[in-house]
Amino acid sequence: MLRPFVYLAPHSLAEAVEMRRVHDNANFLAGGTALLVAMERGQASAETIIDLKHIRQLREIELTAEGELKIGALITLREIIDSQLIRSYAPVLVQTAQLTATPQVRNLGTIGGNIASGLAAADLATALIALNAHVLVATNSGEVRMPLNDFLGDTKVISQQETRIISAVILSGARGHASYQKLMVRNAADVPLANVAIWTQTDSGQVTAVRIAAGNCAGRPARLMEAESLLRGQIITPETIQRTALTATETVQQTGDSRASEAYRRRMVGVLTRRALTQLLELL
Amino acid sequence: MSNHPITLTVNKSPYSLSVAAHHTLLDVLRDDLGLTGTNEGCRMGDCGACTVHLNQLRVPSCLVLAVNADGADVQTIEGLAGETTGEHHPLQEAFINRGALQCGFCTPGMIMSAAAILDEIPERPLSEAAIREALAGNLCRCTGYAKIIEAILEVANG
Ligand SMILES: Cc1cc2nc3c(=O)[nH]c(=O)nc-3n(C[C@H](O)[C@H](O)[C@H](O)COP(=O)(O)OP(=O)(O)OC[C@H]3O[C@@H](n4cnc5c(N)ncnc54)[C@H](O)[C@@H]3O)c2cc1C
Ligand code: FES
Ligand code: FES
Repeated sequence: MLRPFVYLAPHSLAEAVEMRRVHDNANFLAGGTALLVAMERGQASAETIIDLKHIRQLREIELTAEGELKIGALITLREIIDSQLIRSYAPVLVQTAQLTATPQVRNLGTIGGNIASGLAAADLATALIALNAHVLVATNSGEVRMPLNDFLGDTKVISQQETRIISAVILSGARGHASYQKLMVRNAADVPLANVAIWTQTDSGQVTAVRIAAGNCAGRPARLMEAESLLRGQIITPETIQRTALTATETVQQTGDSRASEAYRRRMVGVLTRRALTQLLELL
Repeated sequence: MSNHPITLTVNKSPYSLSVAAHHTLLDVLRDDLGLTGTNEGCRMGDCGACTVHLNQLRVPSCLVLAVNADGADVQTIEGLAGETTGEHHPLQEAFINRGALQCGFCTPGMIMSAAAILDEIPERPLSEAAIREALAGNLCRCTGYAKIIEAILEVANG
């Protein structure tokens, strides 16, 4: 049984920010698939739940006039899989969503919740870091736009002090090619033991831009800068793939826990880097 | 703590209820409406025993607050059975005929998921691999899944 709490249902972002300001020990609710589990386990508590689901503007997927793809924070994993717009703009997000959680959970869990849940290897968050996604965030002092990488760098949002409501995820810039690789104990329905997302842009075979992200880096998904610089300017070949994977293993900072040790995770980041680049080599 | 008035339709019958904010749809179905066909396993979204259809989508009812079901159309295993003539749904018949259950604890959730899968995946013949993937959110500790898959294949492909 969940512990009793007060339930509030704002209809606008401004209302939600104000409710958070006046209630201590409050938590936002989107799909509930991370928060309610944490509350059931006693890992999270809230005297007040502020439900974001009645804020309509968080439910839109649109291609903006500037050619950016804007995905509302309440878009569910299932809606990502079903969206033709997302499929054509960033197919890797569809593939990532298909590998996330269970079919039932995908009907509830949202993109905003995946980012804000504080899961060290959240699937979508890891892929979005490789895509250099930005987030629109409503705060006490108005709306700000920031790279997702900076948003995750701040604090764990699940225990946030300052009000930060993600209203949308924004993708822009060159589309490139991307691959997402996830290692699980089961074949499905599990959070990653290790995960790697890679985005590249090439010009006649040569890598002109690259971003490599891995989960479980000190409690969050983060970029692997050394491996990226090794690959930049190179041509993707079995040899450069091997060197990049080795550098990833040697330089990545992984956290061990009861599910996998730090050493195992480092090795697996290398393996997944190799798999992702091998897949990209086939795509190019 | 707060209480909230909600209306919802469960298995085609309308209800007006006052629900506690911290009660889930699963709690309300079982404790307030006496619909105990929907089972409570883990309460953490892992086992799928609590699967129901919420506005035509299958969800773990343990992770849906009852207040969030306000205005919704809910179908449970009890509604699947009585849908047309009060007779068993073809999936229920196939599960019985093939012995696709042992203790039966997972069965209501398994059948609600199977019913959703028949709609979610339009391709026929439906493949065993597709069913296995789509059943990833329903755990069964008894059968080893083989007969469950056979029963669904039979209904999907005839
Ligand atoms: C069985 C099961 C399997 C799972 N498997 C996976 C998996 O394989 N990979 C994976 O990554 N996750 C997995 N999850 C975790 C979870 O389902 C997903 O991360 C999901 O995307 C979380 O979204 P939500 O909307 O349900 O978040 P919620 O539970 O609603 O929210 C989570 C946290 O984020 C905050 N929050 C939510 N939305 C916003 C917002 N817009 N702005 C600011 N804060 C916000 C909430 O306050 C809360 O603290 C699994 C969960 C279950 C139950
Ligand atoms: S009781 Fe809901 S998924 Fe297990
Ligand atoms: S029949 Fe016992 S859990 Fe499935």
